[in-house]
Amino acid sequence: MLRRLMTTVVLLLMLATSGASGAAPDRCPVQGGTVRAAMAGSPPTLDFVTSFAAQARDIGVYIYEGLVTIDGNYDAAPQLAERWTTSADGKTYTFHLRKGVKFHDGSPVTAADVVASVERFRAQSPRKADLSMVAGARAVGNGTVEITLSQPSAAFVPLMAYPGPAVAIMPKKLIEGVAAGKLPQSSVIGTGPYRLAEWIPDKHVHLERFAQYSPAPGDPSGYAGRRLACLEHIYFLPVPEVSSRVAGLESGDYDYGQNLPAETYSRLTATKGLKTVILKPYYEIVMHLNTQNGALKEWKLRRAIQVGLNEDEIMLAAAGDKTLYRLDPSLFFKEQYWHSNVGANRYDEHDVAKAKALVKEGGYDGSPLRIITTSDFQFIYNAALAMESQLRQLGFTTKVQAYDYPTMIDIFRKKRGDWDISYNAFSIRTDPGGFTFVLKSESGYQPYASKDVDALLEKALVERDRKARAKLYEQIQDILYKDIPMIKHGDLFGFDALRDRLQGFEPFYTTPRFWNVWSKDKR
Amino acid sequence: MAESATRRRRGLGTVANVSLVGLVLLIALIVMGPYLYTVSPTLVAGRERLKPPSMAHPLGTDQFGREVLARVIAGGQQSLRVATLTMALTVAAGSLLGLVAGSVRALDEILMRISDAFLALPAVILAIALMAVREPSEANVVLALVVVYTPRVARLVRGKALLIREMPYVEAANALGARRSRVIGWHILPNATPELIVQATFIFGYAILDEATLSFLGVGPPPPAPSWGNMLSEARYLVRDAFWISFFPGLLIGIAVLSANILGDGIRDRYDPRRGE
Amino acid sequence: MTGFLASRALSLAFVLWLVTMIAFVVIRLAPGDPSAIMLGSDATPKAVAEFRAKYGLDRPIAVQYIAWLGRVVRGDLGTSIYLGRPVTTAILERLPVSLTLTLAAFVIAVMLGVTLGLVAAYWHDTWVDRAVSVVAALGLSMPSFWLGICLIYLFAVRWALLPSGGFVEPWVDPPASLRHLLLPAFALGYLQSGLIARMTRTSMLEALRGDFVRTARSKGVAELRVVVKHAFRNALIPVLTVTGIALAVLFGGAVVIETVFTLPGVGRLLVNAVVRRDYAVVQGTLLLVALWYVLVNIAVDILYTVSDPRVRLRAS
Repeated sequence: MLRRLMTTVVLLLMLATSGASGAAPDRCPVQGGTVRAAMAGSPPTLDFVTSFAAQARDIGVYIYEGLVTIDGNYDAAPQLAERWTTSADGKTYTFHLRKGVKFHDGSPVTAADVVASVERFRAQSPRKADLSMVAGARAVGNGTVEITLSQPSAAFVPLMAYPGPAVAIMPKKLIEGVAAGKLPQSSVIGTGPYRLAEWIPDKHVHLERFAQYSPAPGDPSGYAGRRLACLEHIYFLPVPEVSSRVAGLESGDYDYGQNLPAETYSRLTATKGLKTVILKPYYEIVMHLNTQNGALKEWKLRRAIQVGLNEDEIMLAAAGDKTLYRLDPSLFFKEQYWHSNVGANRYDEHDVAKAKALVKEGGYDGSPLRIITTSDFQFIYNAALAMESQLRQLGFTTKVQAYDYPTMIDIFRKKRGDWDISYNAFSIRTDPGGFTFVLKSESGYQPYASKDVDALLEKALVERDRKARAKLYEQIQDILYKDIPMIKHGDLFGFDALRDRLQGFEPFYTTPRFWNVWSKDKR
Repeated sequence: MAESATRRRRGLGTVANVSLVGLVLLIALIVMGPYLYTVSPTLVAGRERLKPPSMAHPLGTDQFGREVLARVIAGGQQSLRVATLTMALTVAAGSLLGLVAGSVRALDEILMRISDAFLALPAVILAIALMAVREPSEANVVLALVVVYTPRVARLVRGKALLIREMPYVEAANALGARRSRVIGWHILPNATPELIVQATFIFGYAILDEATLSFLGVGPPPPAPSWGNMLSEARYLVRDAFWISFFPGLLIGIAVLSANILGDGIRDRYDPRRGE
Repeated sequence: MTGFLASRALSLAFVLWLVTMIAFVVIRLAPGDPSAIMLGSDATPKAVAEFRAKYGLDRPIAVQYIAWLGRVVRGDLGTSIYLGRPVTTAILERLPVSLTLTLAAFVIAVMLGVTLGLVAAYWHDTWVDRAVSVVAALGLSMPSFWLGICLIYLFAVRWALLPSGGFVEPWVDPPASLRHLLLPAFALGYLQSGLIARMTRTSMLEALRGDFVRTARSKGVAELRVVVKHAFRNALIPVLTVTGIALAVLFGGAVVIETVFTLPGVGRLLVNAVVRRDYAVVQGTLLLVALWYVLVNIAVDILYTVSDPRVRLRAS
């Protein structure tokens, strides 16, 4: 409780320091202007609900809105729904739509649109399993939607609010019968503060202010609350080459640069016309150990790795600067209610002698541990290389292979015999239920199966008491520290920079938020 | 005008001699390096990150705290190995194909058309397309580059073979009943040698550059083992903040490639009949 | 003359056909089932079955090739798994960028190369000559991405003279387009200018020694006129050959430069396709590049026949 209160206080302080007059303004101080944002990647599709890609999520949030979304505390908050009620048995949720909301094509949002959107999500989104508890959705009149669950679930509303990808509300007439990933550009129509003007793959996504936007009431918080489109145009430019992102920022070609290398932090901070922002937290960096194939089937070898690692050195290599990471043992971030220190005695032990003894005990035969990582994210790549160097000091031999991110995930999931250690980074799971997919053995996400974890996950998904639920996830974390299917290295902070004519920018989650941001000189 | 026409070159010329010496010295240093400087090139040391060159760190350290000097040496071994292997295998494969095309008329047309087809694809494009279907590894980088450069050598040897085949002394040898392979061995290859050496030096240089380019595009030899190319490529975002990480491998790439090119030019000038008159 | 051109065109068409075989075979070298490769590993069994049926993957490889070739000839290069659109469309969208860049780089390469070559030949074996050879050799001795990064640092960041990257269509805003093109085109063109300079120098040296130059000089023709009109015209043919090669090769060099300067061209499409294992795009791009090479070669052949009497003779 105290922790939660503290978070709120910190957030309020952050808000207070952002606007000139305290809270965020209720109308734009300056209307007009353009932002050219250099992004690390380009969206694979604009059929946002059918893609896991963060690049799609980051742009989709401008165009689309859901019934609910996440606020600054990562909790569910109303967006297109004005409010909602739950039946006594916890199986029926009734959402009341906000009135007067229009799609970008001018047509009003109706309950039928919501039902069609939820149904399409359940049929075609890669995240459809998250809503497996939903039995059906139906329109009650024009402005009310009723969603029934097969069993009560504490995770339902949070997972409805989770943005990656969001349960976006789209016009029924444009999405009916459209296959996954096949939504044409002309049908990219939502209710968000910006509408799609043009998408040229690998060149730019151009968004334009939607003049008839009807913002949700309440102060801005996370993705929720009032979202004012002060800037007229937003260009998202894919600039995967990190040195080009930095150079373009310095030369004035870009107004914002995403995911910059920490080594440039002090220089960019000192550069005239630029300001740097730290996004805290950003990702937790995690290594997966293959508990079902190869050398690491042997628990003692997994334990040897766990006990031998020096997490501080790994995180320093990953983050590139002392100020851009923190060590933390929990599956959840400190900012979240669910954070726990259970199992922490097995985190960052850095006991090389003990590790070497375990390597011997475990009967390690000297065959190289195959480490797969990705060069798409510098921090994952760097963490893997620093970890690999430590493994060699513990007495292992290694072989590193770097891929682009999708390929690494592909090998991780489908070629179980081809690797011993794989890498990933998790952004905030707004609800702990978001880890179900990662941890449950039937999803087959990682080569690890535990009946105990499965049972706890199932219980946690329906448990409605928050405290009891947190206890369940604490137990899961404890089991993970004992079985060692994955090892968390630490929490990474993000680092972005933008031109200082842009006012009101606050870092949040993985997405740069340009709503409620205005340009001082109207350019 | 006239004096250059009458000037005769005996050796390779001063510049080419200097580059020859430079190249030999560079290779010797890289080969001997691990015995002279024994620090591990892949040891990550978080506390020693991004240290500029000093007594403790002769060429500084990189973003992982690894010794740049150790990495430049180890990277040089990999880069020079890639270049040398590519050169040797390309010359071998190219000579063989060229000789076959030049002496077996039935195969000539088809082999040359195939080499035309390969030449229609720029080296880097073909190499990255090949790397798309192969795992990135040192061996596969060599393989891709050999495939890319073999047609050039094959064309050269074939041209030489066609020319020499018609020479009176070769026809005489044939008429005297010498075996075809003997004719080839004794006459064609030695005649093509100077040009082969020239091509080989160029391929050596191209291979170093192409390895760097493949690393830049993410399909070069895999980490953590360094090569000059992947050092340059991994540190490219640090050019301004820690110039020494990329400066030294870049410098060595420049020296190696420049020397190879100048040496090649020198040998060409020495043997080009048009320049000797 | 038309006979000569026709036979050249025929043999180039043959080359192009062989390239289709290379492109077909290269993709088949990828480990795994082609349907899984072309569709990506997230494909459902149903989609795999449909794909296998559509592309006849159970038939003999020769039959598969012919069927594939048939589709390629009709302009169907398959669908990109990542972009979810036809490869032909994806390529056509990006082609203007690559063509603009290539042509701009070509202009720079030729202007720089020929000038340097002329200067070096005229003052051959002096310090000027040596300086030129150093300038040319430097360009051939560094990775092009490195040159690009250094240019961006100097011209875009340090001196803030030119943009660091991006593309503006020349027909939309010509001055802005030129500013955006200058750095990438120079980075790309500089490397090729070395080769052109070297060839220009060599063939100019030969031409300057020619009788007609001596005659012209003895007749008192102005020196500049001698060099440009008499000598250079005769040196043109070998220069033309190198230039043709340069134009063909530049298109390939664009791969790296487009990545450094974030230009949305065919080269970046290829690089992205390689890391995304998007094989249909890799295949399509290979074919496009080869087609470009063949077209450039035909153009050079036509120029030959126009400018060199000997070729005309041989043809008749």
